Amino acid sequence: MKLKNLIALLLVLVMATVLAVGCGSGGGKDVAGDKPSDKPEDATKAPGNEENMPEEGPDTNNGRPYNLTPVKYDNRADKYLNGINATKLPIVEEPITLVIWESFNSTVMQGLEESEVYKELEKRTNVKLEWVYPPVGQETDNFNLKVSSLDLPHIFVRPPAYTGGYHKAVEDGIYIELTEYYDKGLMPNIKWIRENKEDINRDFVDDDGKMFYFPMLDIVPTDPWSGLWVREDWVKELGLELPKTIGDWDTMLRAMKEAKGIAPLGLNIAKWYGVATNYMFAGSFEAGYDFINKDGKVAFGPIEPGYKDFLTLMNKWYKDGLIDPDFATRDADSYQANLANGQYGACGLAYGELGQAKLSGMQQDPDWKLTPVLQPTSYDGQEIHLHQDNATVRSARNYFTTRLIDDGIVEDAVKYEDYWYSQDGGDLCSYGPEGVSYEWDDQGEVKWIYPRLENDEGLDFWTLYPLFKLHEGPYLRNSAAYEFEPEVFECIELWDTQDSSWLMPENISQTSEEDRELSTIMAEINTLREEMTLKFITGQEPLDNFDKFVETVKGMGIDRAIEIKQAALDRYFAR
Amino acid sequence: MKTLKTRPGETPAPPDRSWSAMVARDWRRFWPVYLMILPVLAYYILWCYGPMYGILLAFKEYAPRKGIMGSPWVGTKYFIEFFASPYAFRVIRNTVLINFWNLVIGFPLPIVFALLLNEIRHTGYKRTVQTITYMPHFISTVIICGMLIDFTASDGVFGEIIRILGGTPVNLLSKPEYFRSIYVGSDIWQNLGWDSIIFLSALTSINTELYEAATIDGCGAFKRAIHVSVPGILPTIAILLILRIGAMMSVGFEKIILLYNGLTYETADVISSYVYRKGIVENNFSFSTAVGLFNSVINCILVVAANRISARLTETSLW
Amino acid sequence: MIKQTTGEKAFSVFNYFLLFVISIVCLYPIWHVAVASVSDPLMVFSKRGFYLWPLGELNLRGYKLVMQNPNILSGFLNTLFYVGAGTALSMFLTIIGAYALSRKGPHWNRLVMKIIIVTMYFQGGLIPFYLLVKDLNLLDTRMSIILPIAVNTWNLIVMRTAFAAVPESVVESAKLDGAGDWRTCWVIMVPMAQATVAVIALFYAVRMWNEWFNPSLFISSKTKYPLQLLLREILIKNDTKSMTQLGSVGQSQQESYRLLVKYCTIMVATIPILLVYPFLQRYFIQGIMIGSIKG
Repeated sequence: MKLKNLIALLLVLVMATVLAVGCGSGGGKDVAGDKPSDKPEDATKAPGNEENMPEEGPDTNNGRPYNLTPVKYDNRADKYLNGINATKLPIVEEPITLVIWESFNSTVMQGLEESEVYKELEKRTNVKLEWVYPPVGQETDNFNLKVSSLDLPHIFVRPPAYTGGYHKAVEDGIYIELTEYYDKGLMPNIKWIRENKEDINRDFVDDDGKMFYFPMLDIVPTDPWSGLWVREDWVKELGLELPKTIGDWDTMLRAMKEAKGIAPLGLNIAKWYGVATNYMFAGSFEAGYDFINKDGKVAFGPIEPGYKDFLTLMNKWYKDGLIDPDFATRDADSYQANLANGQYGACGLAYGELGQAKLSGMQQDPDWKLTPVLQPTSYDGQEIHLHQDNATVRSARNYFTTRLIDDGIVEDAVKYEDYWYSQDGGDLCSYGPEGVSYEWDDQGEVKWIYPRLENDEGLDFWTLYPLFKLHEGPYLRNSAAYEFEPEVFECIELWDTQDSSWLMPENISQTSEEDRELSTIMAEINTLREEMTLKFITGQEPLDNFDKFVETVKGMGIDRAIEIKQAALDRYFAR
Repeated sequence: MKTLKTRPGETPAPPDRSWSAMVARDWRRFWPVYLMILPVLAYYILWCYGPMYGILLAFKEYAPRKGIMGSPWVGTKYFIEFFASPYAFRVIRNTVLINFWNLVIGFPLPIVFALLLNEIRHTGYKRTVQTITYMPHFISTVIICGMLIDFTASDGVFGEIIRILGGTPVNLLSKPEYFRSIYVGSDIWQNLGWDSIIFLSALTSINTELYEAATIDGCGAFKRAIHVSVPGILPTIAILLILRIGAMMSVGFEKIILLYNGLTYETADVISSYVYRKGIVENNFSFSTAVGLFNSVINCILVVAANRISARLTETSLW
Repeated sequence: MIKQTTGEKAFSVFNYFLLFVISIVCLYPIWHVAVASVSDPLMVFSKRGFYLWPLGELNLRGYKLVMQNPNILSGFLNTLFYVGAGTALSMFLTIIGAYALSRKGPHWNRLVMKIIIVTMYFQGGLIPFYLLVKDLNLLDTRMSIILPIAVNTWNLIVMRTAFAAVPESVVESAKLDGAGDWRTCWVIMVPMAQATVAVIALFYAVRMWNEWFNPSLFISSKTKYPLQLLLREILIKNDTKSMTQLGSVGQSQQESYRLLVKYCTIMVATIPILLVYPFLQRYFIQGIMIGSIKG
């Protein structure tokens, strides 16, 4: 009996010890971020001054052409932005390793090191990359934890927003400010772009002209990427023209309803590609779902008088059965299903979403054809200023962390990142290595030749592209370098004809106090806006109460919010 | 127990009542039990009390470099921010109401279900029903909500049924008055079988002799259930009820987010969904910690009250 | 068997019928998912609403796509480990804890109970938890998944209730036979409350099977990922909401499988654990108490 007690006692003590100490390191490897990076011997060899640059001309600089003026290829239109090639390769004599935090999810590769682009980049620059991937869907949590536990990579690629803004991140010792490296001349490619393109320069810096991040540059315009679409086959069937004014839309929708017996308009408000991003119809009334920039003056869309007109129109259409009665609860899947099934005659959509619906739609109705149309005008001679669009400088950004300073490789990392903004670097990222993933054809267009595109059954361009080209990132990006359906180019050309200057610029910034104030005010207002918009449209709230709604919003502090935004906008244009 | 040597005729000296002596006595008598609780206690101290200082974040402005302890105090700033919101009352009310209905309807039903199942004599049928009914619990919320949205659309299944019955179908999820019913109803649908498992297992521990005695006394199935089954599992019911009441301020945000929309914010917006939306605009740990602390305090008060009441009524309590 | 009155017979029939209806209603979600997972992908995409039979021709293409993920096998093995080791550890701790807490003798039992219950309501939050795991050098280890959730308070309380319900007489007769607490716990208590023990084991196993959040925080090597985390990645990749990058995705032929893959993923994630319950049902035997009292 006593022996058993003893054994029990020992067992329990062992358990307690094990629990208290944890099972040691469990044989797991160190978190990638804890690995010491290779020694940075090159930090002192930075060639910052232009006197040392080799002569211009082909085949200098390690086999890559070296040009301090933009290279104009014959096959590119003048409206494309071209960069220069001012990076001296290789960037470092002894290889260094950069640890990158990046979100990644692919069924065809284990990691980004398999990408041809990165392989070639490493060959050219002698900079090795190591990745730390956050679990898909948990990017924000992972980012917050890494920052809180000070477990930083060298570079954060497209991270979620830092609470309080990137200024606060620098204050907190997480991100680093890049201005001094720019001033030192370590970014010749970026410098050339910034000095020669004023509007791009604005988006590279904050209000004081300081640089904090490396943004993505779309040198080839492929936006707008969403807008209004109609079923062209139905329109033709009914003997109508593609609608250009609100009146046309009214006629068309009523005719569709008559003929097809369904509610033809798929409206979506807050969810996606609808009123919120597209300014679907709201733009026709010079109002919108969010802040708009009326020729330099900030206004909040939902309290503009035009918004009431928009709501009135939607309410009329809803009552008359022209809008999908379930629009408020529609989720993405059934929205697209409806599109494919012929339950919608018109909708707002992104051109990227077309493929799915088209395949399924044509399977059921061979004449199925969805055509993009412009934002309609609400009165004669109106000039539309609001529809979805993006600036050249996009909001996908890379941030450098203080770990680079700790490891002493900041300058090399800066030069490495700058290479992406050179013509060559940008091309490499946009297309992949020449001869491996693409080659130029006779018309001067890109032809994809990556072997697996031909050989692999069932895997097409869109699944395989991460293997040989980059997608979003901080480089001179040719955003048209993909295999697009022909409709896409139709969309871009059509929608681009309308002006979108009343959109709020993506890259304005506020101070962290302003930021906090703004988000506190807007959190409440946004809730009210979502509620009331839907209620006005479905008629649950009579439109006469619109003025009361405006008053309530004012009472919640919208004027202060507009003030903050106005100040930010003014500072932006003064950059 | 110390054996006292007493001489015949002498009354034994009273036992030592000092605290240290009581502890010593306790240890001697129950030391195996002490040892058995030790690992479990160690677990709690390490994994639950270890991180507990994080609660202080509710009163501080978090600066990652300084860590939680080094971050500056802001006192009740975030609590005030929460309560100052025009929606504070609404989200609290909705949270409580949804949980209240979930409790009143959703708590007894698995018990009734377990009792009904208990009456089935055919073991094969019983087991099949058990296995099938607990399946919806495993289907992820996303799928269930997708189905619900489909069914409640004006051209969905429920709409069809309404049309057949002669009414006009309407999108049920766009009406705030139906939201709670849909939410609670679907919760019951999903969890009926799963929640009944614990009651079924408790029912097996009731002495069959009691059933036999009751039948001999002339009790029908219904009376047997009331007089034998329910009292037999009363401790389980009581404990689970107390725990449930202690969760009155917690409504998971995922399902709410999937089912609600602007039209139903009035009845559907709960504390967790409100905090979630705020978190998208502004990623603020301190705010969510503060609100979470508020929830915890209320839940705690409720659990203590429920425990006291239960101790008095049923002699079962958590502690 | 005692004869039933007509009233009882009617009730019995009604009962069988009612349970049948409930079963059908509960069966629908999994049936829908199962049926959709073998249907034609384009039809799954465009069909809305209620349907009972596979659409189009039966095919397993969705499953093939899910299984193509190179980490699926290791994910499955990892989960088996987590479920096995995790449940074993949890059950061990919960049983001895419940036994200890159900004893009425020790003075501190109520205090310890309070200490434990407080943790159900007050938690430190994500950051201190993460820092603790980091400081214990458990980041990216399998132990970081098992240890922090080894004891679930709710389960502990339920088990304790069951142990406390075992009549004192049984425990005392065991003690009189010379059994110590350890022996009493494992040889007497556990079998007496076997239904509850089985249920708690099921709860722990299911919880560990479904666990993806903690792994998403602590595990960075994909070879240690549990199945659920992998499947979640596949699910999110195929979720419409994540397809909004610049509008330039969504053109792939593979995109048409998106919804189908969603359903197949759910099936793969759910079926294995569903099959566990039937095995546990044999512990739900009525009347085990009788033997020990009389014996």
